[in-house]
Amino acid sequence: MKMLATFNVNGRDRDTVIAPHMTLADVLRDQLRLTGTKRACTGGNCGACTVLMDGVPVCSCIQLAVNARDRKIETVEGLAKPGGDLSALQEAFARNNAAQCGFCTSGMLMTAEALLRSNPRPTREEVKVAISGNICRCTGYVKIVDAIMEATAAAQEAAE
Amino acid sequence: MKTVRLSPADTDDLLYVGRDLQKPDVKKKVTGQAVYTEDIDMPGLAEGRLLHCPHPFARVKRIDTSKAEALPGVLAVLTAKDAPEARFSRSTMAEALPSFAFDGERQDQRILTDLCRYRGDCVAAVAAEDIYVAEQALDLIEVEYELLQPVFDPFEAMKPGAVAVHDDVKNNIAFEMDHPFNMGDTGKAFDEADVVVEFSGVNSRQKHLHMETDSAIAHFDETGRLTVISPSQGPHLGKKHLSERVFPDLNDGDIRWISPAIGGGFGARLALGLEPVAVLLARHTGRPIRVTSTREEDFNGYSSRTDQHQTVRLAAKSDGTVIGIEQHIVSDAGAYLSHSATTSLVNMQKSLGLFRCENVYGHVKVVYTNTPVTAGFRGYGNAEGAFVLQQAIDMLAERLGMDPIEIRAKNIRKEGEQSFFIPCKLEHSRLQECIDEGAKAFDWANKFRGWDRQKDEGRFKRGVGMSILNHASGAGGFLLEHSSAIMKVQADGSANLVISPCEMGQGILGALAQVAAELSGVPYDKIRIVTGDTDVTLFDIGSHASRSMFVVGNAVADCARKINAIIRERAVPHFEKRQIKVTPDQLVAKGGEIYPEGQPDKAIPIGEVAHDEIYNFSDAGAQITASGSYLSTSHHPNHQAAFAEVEVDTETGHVSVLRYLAAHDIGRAINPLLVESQMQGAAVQGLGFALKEDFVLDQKTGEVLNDTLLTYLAPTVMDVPELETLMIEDPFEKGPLGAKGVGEAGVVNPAAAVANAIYDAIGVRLHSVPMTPEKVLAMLQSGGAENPAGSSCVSGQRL
Amino acid sequence: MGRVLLPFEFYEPESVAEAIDLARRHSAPFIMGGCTLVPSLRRRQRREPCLVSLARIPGLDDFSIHPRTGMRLGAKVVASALLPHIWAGKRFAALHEACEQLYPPHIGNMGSIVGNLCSGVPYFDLPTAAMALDAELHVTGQGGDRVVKLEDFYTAKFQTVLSRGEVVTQVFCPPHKADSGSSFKKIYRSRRTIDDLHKLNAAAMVTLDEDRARIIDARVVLGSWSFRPHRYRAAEAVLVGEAPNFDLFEQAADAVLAELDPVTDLAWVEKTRFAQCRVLLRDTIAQAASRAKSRHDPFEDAAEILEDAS
Repeated sequence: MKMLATFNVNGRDRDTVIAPHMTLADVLRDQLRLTGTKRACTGGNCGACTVLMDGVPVCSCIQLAVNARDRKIETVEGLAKPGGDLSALQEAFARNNAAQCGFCTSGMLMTAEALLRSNPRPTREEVKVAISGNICRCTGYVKIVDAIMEATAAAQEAAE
Repeated sequence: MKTVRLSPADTDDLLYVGRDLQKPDVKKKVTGQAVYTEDIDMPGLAEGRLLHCPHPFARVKRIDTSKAEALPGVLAVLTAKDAPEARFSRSTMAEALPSFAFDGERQDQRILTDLCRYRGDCVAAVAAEDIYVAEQALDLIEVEYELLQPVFDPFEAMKPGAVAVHDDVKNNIAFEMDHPFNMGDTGKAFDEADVVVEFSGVNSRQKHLHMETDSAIAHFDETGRLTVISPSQGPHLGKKHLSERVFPDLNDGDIRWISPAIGGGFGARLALGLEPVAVLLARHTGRPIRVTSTREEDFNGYSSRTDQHQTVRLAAKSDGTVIGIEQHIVSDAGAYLSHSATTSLVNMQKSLGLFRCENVYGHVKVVYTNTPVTAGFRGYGNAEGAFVLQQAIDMLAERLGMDPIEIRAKNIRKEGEQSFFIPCKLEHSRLQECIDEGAKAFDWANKFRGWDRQKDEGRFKRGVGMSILNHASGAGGFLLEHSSAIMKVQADGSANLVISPCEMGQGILGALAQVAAELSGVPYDKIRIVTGDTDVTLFDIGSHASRSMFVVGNAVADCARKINAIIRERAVPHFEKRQIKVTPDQLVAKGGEIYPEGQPDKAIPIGEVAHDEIYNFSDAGAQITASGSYLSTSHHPNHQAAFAEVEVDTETGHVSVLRYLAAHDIGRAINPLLVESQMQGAAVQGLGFALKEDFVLDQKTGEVLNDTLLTYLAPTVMDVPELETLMIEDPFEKGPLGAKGVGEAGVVNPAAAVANAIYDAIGVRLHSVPMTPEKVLAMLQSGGAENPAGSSCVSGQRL
Repeated sequence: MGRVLLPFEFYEPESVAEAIDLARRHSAPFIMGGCTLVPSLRRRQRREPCLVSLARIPGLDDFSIHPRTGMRLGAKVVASALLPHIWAGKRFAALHEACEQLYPPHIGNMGSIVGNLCSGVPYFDLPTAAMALDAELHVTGQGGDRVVKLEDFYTAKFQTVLSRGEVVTQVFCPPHKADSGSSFKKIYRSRRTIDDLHKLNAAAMVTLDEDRARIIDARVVLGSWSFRPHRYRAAEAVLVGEAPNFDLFEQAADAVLAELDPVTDLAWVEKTRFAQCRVLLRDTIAQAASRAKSRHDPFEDAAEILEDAS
């Protein structure tokens, strides 16, 4: 049961052929070759596959692609500024060594991105709650929270 | 982050070492550009999947693959009859071990089998044009099993008459030995002791939970040469093992092994994963094949800590001097041996060797059961051992009325003394300083309220505890501890650094580039690392045993010093052209420039010299290049002292870690940010081991019960306590710029320190990790009395 | 245990009637967020050759929450929709808390509350919380509409009173008296046997009289013990008519425990399960009572707002 589907990914419409049993993560990775989104548990339990759908974080590994048509999808590949410079959040992750093996990083970044858009001045505790569903096995989370805090509006203003 | 420098700082002279520089691969990781095995595409790539046995112990009576083969898009369906007869161990360590330990690594499994010894054993492999067809094909394979009586408990398995998991192994004892460094007369020591304590404990099979599940690509090119791409911590050993044990018709050089970005290792990738079956499928189909796995397959199949059932006995004089140590271990290997014998041996090596003692006896048995295969895990047995030993030493302190710090300080081995790595001396240790500085920062003197204090009133009770450790920094004399590096300078003064370590998140590439930059003179941001391809990199046993910083770091240092010398030598004519007469010895090459000592204003760029060596028609010489090597033979562990404060909810049994402080003897931090990252990550992984991560099998069916990230409780950000890290710096003269390894050890102390803190809070000792609320509650309800000895992981890891 | 899903037919009707017709004809289940269905299809715990999606049916994501009129949530309302809603937090705290504590939080953006209630997964949190709020489900099928109390909804593990072709279009929690409070809590555990569940969850609703001196109504629900959450009327009877206090809550918890059977045959596991359950129930009831007592949202204000709005 193949169908032609259009996905709006990172602001661009992309056409591809899908079947209803394909997940959004698999279509992004295998068909659209946006491999920054990772499959780690494929059960909606770890956050590694997080993408934004209409601005909110979802687990793309359990999201049927067919239900993601007509939605605005954002992946890690869309985070950098036009021209390729890293966003403030990405810079903060790099500066704090908040990415070790890097496999959870895309999901962490997308989850944090959604938080900072809806709450540009979160407390440390709010950051923790936001990423509480993103599992990282390397960092012990401290540097990730540090990085997100450095990317908040408050920290950015203080740095200026 | 705090650094305590024990010797005068020399960092002023250093441009790169000691600084928090960004590691070279971090930008790729924050943009999603880092390429992991599953991200790779290549022309003709087909997908492989495996069919796993759903029973713990069964013989395949009939297998019918015809429907699967008939499905359009299916390239091959293979079963045991198509797999080589050769037996192999998933552990690749056999290739790097001396014979006494190597003999322990039984080569005992096949790629595909018709006698399934656990639920993860593979009975068939499918290759198809895409993953969806591959999955449908798996679904069409019909298998009829003859069910065999399984055994899940190692103590049951050892009983006479128990079911044999492997026909050729008596009483399922796959491996048994006395520790090779046993010494003295423990019997006599225990007779003469003023005090004797004994403590038993067991650990759960903590899963590595590398976020990237296992996968592998195999491809035979037009000449028949094999390329393997997989997340391997040791690709050189991998290809040796694959050719030697699995496909004996292949030679070592017939295999090119590429290890791209790795989504976490923690010891699990020190093994063959899906590579053998990918090779088998590639052979049968003539196509590049990628085999992938799922998180559930990871839980039910290969890779976790080995559950080690241990008893430690200590004999001491009334002044607290330990005069005898005994350790007995029964380890449950699971269905195949893999790393479980060597991890048990390393547990003994660390546990028996921490304290200075003349009478030492260790004994280990490793047992087969019909349960998933266990493996080597960060710390390699040390965390398992510390949980028992560090509680035993606290019991001794309590009996003698001594402070836990005092009794440890009295007994630890000191620098210059005989180490337990006989016949090596202990060449470097700042463990005492770790204890002192850690205790000071933690305020131990006030926090520890003595052994006979009244426990807190009310529902929530607090306590503190500590633990110390020694851990390898490479295993000179025990493993093939040599490594080599190559550096070549490009015409613009940048350089390629060819090194073997695999980057699985530890940041080693950055640290090695910092060493190379410091010593070669090429700037840090101009060093481009080439790694992860056995056709390019030099032999190295891989990233494990906290060895890369020390062993590879020394090889890089050797190489970089040579580059620096060549640059200075070749620069002499460039200064002569400028009417400056110098000898190479009078020149300094640093930070991308060369200048006569004391005259940085006369500097010329390294690029000028490098360019002329390649592109000057009149007197081009040869591209500036060098290789360096290092062989480690000394014993110089890294050490740590850790302190924990906990609060126990006596109504639910829940333990909250309020504060955790670790002071780490690291030699020198090449990059403090990376070191602290490792310490924090290890501490949280260790706290997961201590309190949450429970791998339980159903005792009747052997089914893995916590096989998703929903039910297996991995630490989340909400579990992270106030973490404090102290780096105790005192450069070790043999280390590259003084560094020792640091990657693994942080995982060792948490369970031990938390267990001691729980005892301090509630007066009950826990005998099994993880110390889940239910176990704490059960012990509280019975006042510590309900402590049936000897049960296994199957019934919930209680001893 | 596959890595991907096996193929299925997929229909995307644009009306409830069409959806019911398709589901009946193909004997197909409905899919909303897919948070339960997709993983179970991948793991081959379920096999469905055909699915009917509710995604394109308009109107099902409407919701209204008000102290006077109750909480009415359409079939497609996702859990995170409740989080910023002031009356959800104040007057329907048990469900609000359960939604807030979904793991991982992303699921709240994907999974619908009705879908969660309908899945019949024994350890889910929202059914426990909704049962304490006296939730009822509005079911539409070929034979017409009916209303089913959540208490009467579950028949066996993963089974409900729904037959194929019947769809829950909304869930409704009635308004409750001014001095009421509700609460939800859970405790994670390790599974020890194949019948075991990895957590315990509980929800309670307590209503006080006008003087806030005595309990006049109570609902006590425990989930993750058997295949479905249960209300414990004996425990409620302990509470009603009494002045709220710690000992009373413990007695109510004990009344629940008296009705519970062990889950496994491991004595130590059951001892700790009962002990944890007692604390969980006691603290959940205590929190609900404390909220009832605090009356932080004057009911009169709500009435005025309602009049303004109408």
